[in-house]
Amino acid sequence: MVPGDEGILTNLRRGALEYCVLALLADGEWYGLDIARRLGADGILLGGEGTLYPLLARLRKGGLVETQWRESATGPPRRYYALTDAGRRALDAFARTWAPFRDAVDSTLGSHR
Amino acid sequence: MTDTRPDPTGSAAGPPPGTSPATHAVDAYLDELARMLAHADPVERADVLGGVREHVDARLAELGRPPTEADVTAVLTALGPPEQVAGEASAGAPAPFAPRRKRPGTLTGTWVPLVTTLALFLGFLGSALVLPWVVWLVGAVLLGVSTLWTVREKVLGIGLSLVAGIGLIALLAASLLVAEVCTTIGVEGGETTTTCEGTTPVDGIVLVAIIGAVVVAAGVTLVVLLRRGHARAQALA
Repeated sequence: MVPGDEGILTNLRRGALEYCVLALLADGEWYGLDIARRLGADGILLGGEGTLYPLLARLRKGGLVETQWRESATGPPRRYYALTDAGRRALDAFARTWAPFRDAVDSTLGSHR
Repeated sequence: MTDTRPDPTGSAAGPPPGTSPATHAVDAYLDELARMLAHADPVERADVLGGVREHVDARLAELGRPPTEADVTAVLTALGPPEQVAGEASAGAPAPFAPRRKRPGTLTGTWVPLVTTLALFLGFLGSALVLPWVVWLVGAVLLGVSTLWTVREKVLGIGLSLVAGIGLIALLAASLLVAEVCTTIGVEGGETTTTCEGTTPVDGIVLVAIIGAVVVAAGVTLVVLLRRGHARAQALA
């Protein structure tokens, strides 16, 4: 990554990362570590893995996700995150808006790529 | 994966496993993160710290063996520096859709409170007849569907006006019944004596008082609902 990309990436993440988390939760509940691993694998969606947790806290505060403690075979009980109805609605709305937005940006950038 | 690590506490808040330097490094990280989150919302701070601690514990537990300092360093590095994590806290806009929750809901026009409470009021006052009940029903539906009032306000409004309406019917019925229990009990010297016997005076007064109180309560409640609904509808307009 070229230095300077990081700032742009941070801004782009602000708009989309929360919805990526919601999208992961659409099919079931996940616990924090798995979300961090999945999203953090390529270093693009997530900066440090730790930045996931303030995001999850915000989503929970906003009523878009809810948490549930579950026993774990490999250690102490873990918090599982699940989508709420409001979260599902938010995700759907984002999905509707994202495609046209992405296409518009892509086509505008076309000559530069 | 079998966990061969001894876990003496067996509780969610158990200290991370491993050697002292490893534990120390994790605690130091969490302490620094806590310091940086000192000005954040306490609930959010607790959430973030709990989540990060869980993340570290889970990562280290997955190793299946006591973690070394190198393991811990790797996990903490993957987390990213505490400043970066703290920087994300309440950094962005408020949670998505939070402002949207305040969008006007159903039946929030400024005409709604007046029409609704008037319908309920006239409805229960005229409860002896059929048409007022239709009017009452309209009011009840408006009150139930509109998002201008809380669930408790709706329950009180519908419930009290309903009970008041039924009470007024009962009162009317009772007074009609009393009138019918006049009997002729004696004929003396060409004069007939008639006594009206119904409920005793005490019973009658108690009944009227109770129903009267319910009617007043219903009326007062409807006025309160009208004023609150009006204020809220105006705020949304």
